[in-house]
Amino acid sequence: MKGDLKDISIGLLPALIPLFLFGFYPLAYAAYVSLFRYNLKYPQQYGFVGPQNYVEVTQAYYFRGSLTSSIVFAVVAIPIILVASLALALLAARKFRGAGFLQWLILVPWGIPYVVAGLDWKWIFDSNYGLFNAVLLQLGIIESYRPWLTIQWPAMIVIIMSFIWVTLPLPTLLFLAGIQSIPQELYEAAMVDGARALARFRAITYTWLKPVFLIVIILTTLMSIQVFDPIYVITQGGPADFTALISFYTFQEMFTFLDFGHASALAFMIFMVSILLIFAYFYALKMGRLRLRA
Amino acid sequence: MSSGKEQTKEQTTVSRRKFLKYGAGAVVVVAAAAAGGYYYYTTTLPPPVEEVEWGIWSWGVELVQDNARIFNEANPDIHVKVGDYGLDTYASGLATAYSGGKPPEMHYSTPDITISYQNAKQTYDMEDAYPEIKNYLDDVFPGYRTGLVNPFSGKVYGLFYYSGGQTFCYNKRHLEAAGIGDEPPKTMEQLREDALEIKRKGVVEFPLGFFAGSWGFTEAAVYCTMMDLTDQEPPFMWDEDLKPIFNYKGSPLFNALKYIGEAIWVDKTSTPAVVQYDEPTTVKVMGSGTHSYIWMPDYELAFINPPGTSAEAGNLKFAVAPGSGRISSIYRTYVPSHTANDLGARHRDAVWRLMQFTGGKTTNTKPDFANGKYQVVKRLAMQAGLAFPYISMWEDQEILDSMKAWCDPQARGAALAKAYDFFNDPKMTPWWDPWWGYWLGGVVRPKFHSIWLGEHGQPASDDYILQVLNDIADEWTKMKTAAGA
Amino acid sequence: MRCQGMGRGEQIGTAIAVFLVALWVLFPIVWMVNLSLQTEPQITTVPPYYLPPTPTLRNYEFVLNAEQAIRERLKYFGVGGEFLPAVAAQYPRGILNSVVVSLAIVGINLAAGTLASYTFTRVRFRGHMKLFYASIVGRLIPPVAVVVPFYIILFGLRMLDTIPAVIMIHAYFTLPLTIWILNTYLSTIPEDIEDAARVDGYSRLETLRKVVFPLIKPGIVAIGIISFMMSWTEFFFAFMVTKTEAARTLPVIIGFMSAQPVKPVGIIMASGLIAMIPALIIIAVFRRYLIRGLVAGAVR
Repeated sequence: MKGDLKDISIGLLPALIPLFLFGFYPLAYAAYVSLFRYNLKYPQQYGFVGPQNYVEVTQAYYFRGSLTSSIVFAVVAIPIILVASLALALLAARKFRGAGFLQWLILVPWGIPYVVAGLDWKWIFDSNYGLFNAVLLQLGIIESYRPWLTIQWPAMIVIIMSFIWVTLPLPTLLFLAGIQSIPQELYEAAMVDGARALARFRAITYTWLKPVFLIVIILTTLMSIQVFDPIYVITQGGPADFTALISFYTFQEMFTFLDFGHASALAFMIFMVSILLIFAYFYALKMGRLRLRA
Repeated sequence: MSSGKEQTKEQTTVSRRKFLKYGAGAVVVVAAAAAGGYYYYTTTLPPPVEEVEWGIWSWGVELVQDNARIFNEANPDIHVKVGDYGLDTYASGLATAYSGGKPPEMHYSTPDITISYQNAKQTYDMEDAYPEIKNYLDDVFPGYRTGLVNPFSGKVYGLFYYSGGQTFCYNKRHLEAAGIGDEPPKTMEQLREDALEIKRKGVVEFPLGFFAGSWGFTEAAVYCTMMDLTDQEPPFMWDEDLKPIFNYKGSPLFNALKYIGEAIWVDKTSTPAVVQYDEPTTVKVMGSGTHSYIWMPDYELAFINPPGTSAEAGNLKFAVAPGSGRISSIYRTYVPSHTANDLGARHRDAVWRLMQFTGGKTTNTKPDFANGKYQVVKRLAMQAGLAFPYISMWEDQEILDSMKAWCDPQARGAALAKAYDFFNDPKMTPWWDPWWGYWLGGVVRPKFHSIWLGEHGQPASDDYILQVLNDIADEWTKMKTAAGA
Repeated sequence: MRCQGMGRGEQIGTAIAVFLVALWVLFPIVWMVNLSLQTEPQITTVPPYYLPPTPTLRNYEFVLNAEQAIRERLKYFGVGGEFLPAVAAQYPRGILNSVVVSLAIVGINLAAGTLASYTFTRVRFRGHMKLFYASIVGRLIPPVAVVVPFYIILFGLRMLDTIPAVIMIHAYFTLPLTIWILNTYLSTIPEDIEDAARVDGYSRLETLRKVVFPLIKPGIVAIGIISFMMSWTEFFFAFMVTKTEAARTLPVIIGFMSAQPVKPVGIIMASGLIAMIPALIIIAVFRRYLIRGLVAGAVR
C-alpha cells in the first residue's frame, strides 16, 4: 500500500510539530551557536570562531575532573540499574500471592517528583539532623556525626543511590512486560529437554529480551549522561566539584558563566557521545537496524 | 449550450453589477462604523493598563505580593505582575529571561548581576529620564553610594531594595556556660582561644561556624575572616589594574584560608560540614545552637532571635567583629532592564512610579521625595528585619523600637558601621561572578572547599593553599583576558 | 520454568526478596511521612524522632490552604512567628495546572503518538526511517542547551508562562518514547486485517480507528500512563518557562518551597506526599493494563 501525501501529513504532522519545533530546531540552534563566541556578558564579542569553543571547553580547568566523575557515575549506575531491574522483573513475574503488590511497590518511586525525593535523601544524610548519622551513632559504628555529603565517595554514592531509587521503575516495567510475553511452552519444552536454569535463561529469556534490553540500556545511558536533578538538589556539584558531572558543568557554563557558545559546544559533544553509544549498543547486541516491521 | 452560456454570462454580468453595488455599500458602512468606533473608544474608554513585571527572588514573597497588591489598587492604570524566579535559581532564571528577549521591567539584583547586564548594555539608567533620582543619594550613607551608580555611564540607575552586612554574631548562653562571660572576643586569636574553651567545657562540639556554602555568602566566611585577621588597608584582592595580589604565603587571603582549615582539623572547633551551609542551613544551625560564633547576614537574627522562634531565641547577639572589625557589606538594588525603556514613555513612567514605591519615598504610593516616607523599605525593616542605607531611617524611632524585639539597635548599628564594600575591591567586574561563583558553582568555591575538606591534608599544607591561590589567580587572569579587559 | 506450585525454599526466598524490595522502596517514603507529621522544631532535634512525638496534620492543612494562613501572618506586624513559605499559596493552583498539563499530554500522546506510529509502520514512504530517527534525535540533547531556544520560541509566540507552552514542551520529550514503544508494538501485528479493510474501501484513518485501535488498546493504555508519569514529575522545563502561578506545575512549586531562607522541611514533605497520591492511585488501578499493554508488542 503506497501512502498518499494527505494520509502521511495527517498522520505525522501533529506529532512532528512539537518534535521538530522543540527538538530538532534547538539542536540545530545549539550546533550553530557552538561555532560562535556568544557570551551574554560580552555581546560585543559575538562572532564566528569555528571550533574554538570546543577547544576551550576541553582545556578548561574543570573538564578532566568532570569527565572522570561522569564516567565513574555511568559505569557504576548503569550496570546496577540493568541488573537490578532485570532481577526485580524476574522476581515480579513469578506467580505468587502478593506479586501484584510487589509490582505496585516497584513502580512507586516513579510517581515522586525528584525535588522531593532528592531533599528526602539529602535530609537522611544531613550532617546535623540526618537519620543515617543517628542510626550509625546508636549502633556504635561512629563516635560522632559525620558530614557525609562533604566527603567525596559517600557524596557520590548518595547521588547514585537516589538516582537509582528514582529511575529503577521504568526499566523494571519494560523488562517485566518483556518477560511476560515469552511463551510458556518454550520453558516447558526446555525443562522437558532437561536444560538447567542458567542454560534456560541464556537460550530463552536473554534472546527474547534482547530488544527490550536495547531500549532499556539506551534509556538508562541517556538518563545517566543527562543526570542533573540529583546533583543540583543534593550536592550542587560538591564536595569540591567531585560530583560536578558534565551535565552540571554544561548548566554552569550556560547560567553562571553565561557563555552560550561553550554550553552549546559541551551539549553538542554530549549529544554526539550519546549517538555513538547508541550505535555501539546496536552493534553489540547484533540488532542490525531497528526494524519497524515484523 | 450556447444560450445557456449566454444566459450565464448575462447572469454573471448582472450579479457582478449587483455585487459591486452591494460591495461598495458594505465598504462605506464598515468604514463609517470603524471610524465611529475608533472615535468612541479613544475618547470614552480608559487608556490601556501598563503591565509591568517585577522580578523577585523567593524571599518574603508574601510581603512582596501584598505590596504589589497595595500598589495596584492605588494605581489602576498600572498592573504590576510579580515574577518569582526562585532563590538558588534566580540568576539562571533571569539569564534565560534576558537572553530570551523579555527580562522583567524591574528586578532585584546583586552587584555581580548588575554589572554583567550593565556591561552588556541590557539595562536602563533611570537618571536618563528622571534626573531627580540623584536626590536620593543625599540620604544614603557615603559608603553605599557607589552601589547605585552604573560605572559604565556614571549615572544613577535605580534605588536600594535594602542593605546590611555579614555581621559577627555570638551565642551568649554558650559563652556564659563556658565561663567566658558575656564579652565577645576582641581579636581573632582570642576568638580561637574562646572557641577552644567552649569546646573544652563541653558546651558544644563545634563552636566556630562558617557560612561557607552555596548561594552567595561564602564571602561571609572568607572575606570576613580575611579582613578581620589583618590590619592591612584595602584593597585585599586586586590592584588598580585588576591584577591578583593575594597569591603569596602570608597574604590576608592565605591566612584566612589557613585559619579556617586549622579550626576544622587542628583545633577541631569547626566541622567540614560548613562547606554545605547555605542560608537556610545557617539559620537552622544557629537557631538550634550548633555553633557559638558565626559571620552571617544581620537580618537572619530576626528569624531566630525573637521569643519562641527557635531553641536559642534571645541568646544571639550582634558584636563588632574581632580584629579589625571589618565585615563585608551586603546591598541589593532594583535594576531596570531595557524592557523598562523599550515600550514608550508612559510605560517607563509606570516603572519609575513602581520603583519609587518599592525603594523610595512616597505618600499613598505616589512618588513624593519631599515629604513622603520610605513605605516599603520601612515595612521590610519592621516586618522582616532588613537593614537599610538611608540616613533618615536610622533616626526613625518606630523602626528602632521594632528592632528591640530581637537585637540591640546600637550594637547592630556599630557592627554595620564597619561594613566594607568588598564587591568593589577595588572595583567590580563582569567576570567576578563566574570566578567567585556567587550564585552557583564558580571556579573559586570548590577550590576553597578542597582546602577545608581534608582530602589534601588535615589541615591542608601551606604549599597546597599557595597552589590553590595560584590556580585561581591564573583563572582570573584568563577570564580577564577573555573579557577583553 | 514456572511450575505453578513453589517449593518451600522458593517461597521463603521469594518472601525475603519481597521484603528487601519493600524496604528499599518504602523507607525513604516512610521517613517522608514521619517528617511531614512533625513540626519544624521537632524535625531539627538531635537525635531525630523515629516516630512523630505529637503527630499533627498542620503541614498538610497549611499546604492546601496556605492563602489564609499567610494573610493571617501579614496582619502580624512585627518580626518573629513561624516561617511560612508564601509560595505555598500557589499550591492548589499548581495541582490544577499539573492535572491539566498531564491529562493533555496523555491525550496528545494517545492521538498524535498513535497517528505518527501508525504512519511510520504502515505507510511505506521514502525516508520513513530517516524521518523517524530525525524526530527522536532532539531528545538526545541535554535539556540545558535547549532551554534558551525554547524561551526564544515561546517569547516569539507570546506564549511564555502559559499552560499550552508547558504542554508543548512536555509533548516534545514524551512523544519519542511513545512512538518508539508503539512502533515495536504495531510491528508485531500482521497487516492482513487492515489490508482487508482497505480493500473494502476504508480510508486509512477509518482503518486505524475501527480496526487497529481495538487491537492495540493495551499498548495505548501503557503509553498513556508512561507519558502521564513523565509529565507529572517533570521539573526543569516547567520551571524555565513559567514565572507565576498561571502555569506553574507542582514540582516547580515544591522546588520553590525548598529554596526558602528558612527551609520548611515538614511542609515540603507534606506537599510532596500529596503530589504523589494521584500517581500512586493510577499505578494501582492501571497496573495490570500497564503491563499487559507492553507485553504483546514490546518484544520483537
